[in-house]
Amino acid sequence: MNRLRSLRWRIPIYVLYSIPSIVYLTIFFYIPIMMIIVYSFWQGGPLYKIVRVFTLENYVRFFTDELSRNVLIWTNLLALLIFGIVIIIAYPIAYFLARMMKGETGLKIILLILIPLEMNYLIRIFAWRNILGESGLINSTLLSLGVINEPLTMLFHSIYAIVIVAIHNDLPYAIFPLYITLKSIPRSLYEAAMDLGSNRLSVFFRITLPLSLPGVAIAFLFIYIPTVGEFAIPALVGGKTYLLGNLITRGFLDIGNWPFASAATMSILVLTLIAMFVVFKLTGMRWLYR
Amino acid sequence: MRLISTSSPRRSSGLSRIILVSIIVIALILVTVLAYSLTTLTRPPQKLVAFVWEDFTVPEVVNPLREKYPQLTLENSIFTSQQEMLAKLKGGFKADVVSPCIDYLPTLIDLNLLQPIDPSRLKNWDKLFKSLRDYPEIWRDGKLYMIPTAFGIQAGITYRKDKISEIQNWMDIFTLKERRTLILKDPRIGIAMGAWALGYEYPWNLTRGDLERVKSFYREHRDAILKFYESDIEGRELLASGDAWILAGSGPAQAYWLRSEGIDAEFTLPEGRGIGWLCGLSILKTSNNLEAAYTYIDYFISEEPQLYYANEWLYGPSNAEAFKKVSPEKIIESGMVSPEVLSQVLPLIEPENIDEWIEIWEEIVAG
Repeated sequence: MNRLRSLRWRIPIYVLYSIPSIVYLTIFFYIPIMMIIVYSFWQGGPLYKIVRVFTLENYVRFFTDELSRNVLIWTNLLALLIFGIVIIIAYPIAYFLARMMKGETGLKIILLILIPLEMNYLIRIFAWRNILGESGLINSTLLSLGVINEPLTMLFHSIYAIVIVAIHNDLPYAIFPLYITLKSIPRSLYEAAMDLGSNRLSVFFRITLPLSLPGVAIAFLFIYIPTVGEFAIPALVGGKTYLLGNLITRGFLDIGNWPFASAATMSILVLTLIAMFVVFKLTGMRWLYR
Repeated sequence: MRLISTSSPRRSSGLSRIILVSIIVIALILVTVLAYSLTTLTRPPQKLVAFVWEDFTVPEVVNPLREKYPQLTLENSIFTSQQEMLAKLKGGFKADVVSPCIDYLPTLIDLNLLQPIDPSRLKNWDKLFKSLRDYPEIWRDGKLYMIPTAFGIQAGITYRKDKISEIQNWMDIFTLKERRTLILKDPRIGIAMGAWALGYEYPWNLTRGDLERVKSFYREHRDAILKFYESDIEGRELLASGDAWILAGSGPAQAYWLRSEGIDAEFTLPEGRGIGWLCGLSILKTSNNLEAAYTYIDYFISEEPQLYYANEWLYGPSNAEAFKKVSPEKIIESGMVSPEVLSQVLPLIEPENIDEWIEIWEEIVAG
């Protein structure tokens, strides 16, 4: 009895608190991930041919096969482009809301920006189909104003459409963390810098920008990583554009080569973790990976 | 001394509560899992799980079934593509009946997922078209594995007549200057259409070299392709919106639906080449209610549901009596064909080198 009591006292309180979440994560997250890892090391082929024999072939194929290699490079470039554009748009907005607006006005506007995220993700994408289509809002307006004679085909079912929709979708995810970091920079720092003779440009590049980089890193986490695995936007508005998310979805559902699709999934997971590590290190967010 | 004696019980009681809550949470999870397992094990004897296309679950057909057989408890599980169906069945999904099409039937038989069907247990079996009852692909080693429920033509072209005056041959859809052609994202139909454009007569025996040629052809004409579409509904929506003008890989029903929406659309089989489809119902090895499975299948090949699908979904009915009751105007307007046409067009089958087809098609789609 005494032994049992002493054992009970040795269990830290936070371990006990975490039991429900550990159980939940184990069942719904870690076990599926482990299954994907196991699948990725089995031999496979189209139409659900799976041989339970260990192989590294799927990983080798993913990184050496021309198709998957090109898709990998192309998807990463596109994700970086989208992230870059989103940051360029989001930063001035967040800066304006955090530094220029008085009181809680900035936060209220942020909440308004976040409201569209409550709408279903697929419905938002479908709405863009109507805006960008041949007889959509943009083409109809431009045609009626006489700006163009023919509908702009580049707007629908193209890579440009992916970029437009992804930017719209990702913008709140960049504005919000940037707003938080910009808002948390003490005003005294600016005043001290100004007292020491800095001009506004110098203050921005030597104080505001470096101190807001954690917000950029969080935006990277929210935008770049989901974009690399994105499959709904390319499928619905991207026309024949083929990205990594589509390669994996097709691998699982259409082609039925689960081992290869699993290897692709794990490779992306590792690559995005590395990218995240690098970005967090560069932006000084060491505490996140310590 | 007093302080120690008062604080210990409090900490102890707090800790006990946490342990108790954790135990309750774990117990709840276990009870839920156990309850689900028990429900599965102790389901009523007349319960039938149907793993089917969405059209098998519409109330117009399912409600009369429930009224006719009140002892039958039907549970529908829907799949949206045959690949998805195969993936789920391979993943251990259990059901009594499944609704495959002729192209995936051999794979299901090879994987030992189906059990033979005894047609003498179906009252409506003799009412089916003889050509469908004798269709070679539904039999293997003298055993019947699928009861045909519907058939038709696919791999034709639906196009907007207000945008394109005429399509005469398969090459026409690839030589459009505008990026307006939709190609069905199915390796067999996609490659077959490319092969027809290149002049091949019979695509199912294409060699690796031929497939590479089709791939090069697609790459050369990629500018004409707007996208590789997934489903009839998606294709029709894109044609209706005006984003696309040509739907390659469709059946005649698409043009009918578009015309009913006021869009000037036409269906054609360039050079008379198309592919026939035949779908039906099969009984899974995992079925533990054969009686209900036969009742279900027999109902779907009976006259009423067959006539409903012919009139509302424009499927060719496998029941000959139902086919006779479809109005001639409807048959002409919808492009419905008789089952004899299935022998005039190519059957949708799985080529021997399907792995190469899938590999090449993936490269075509990815560009």
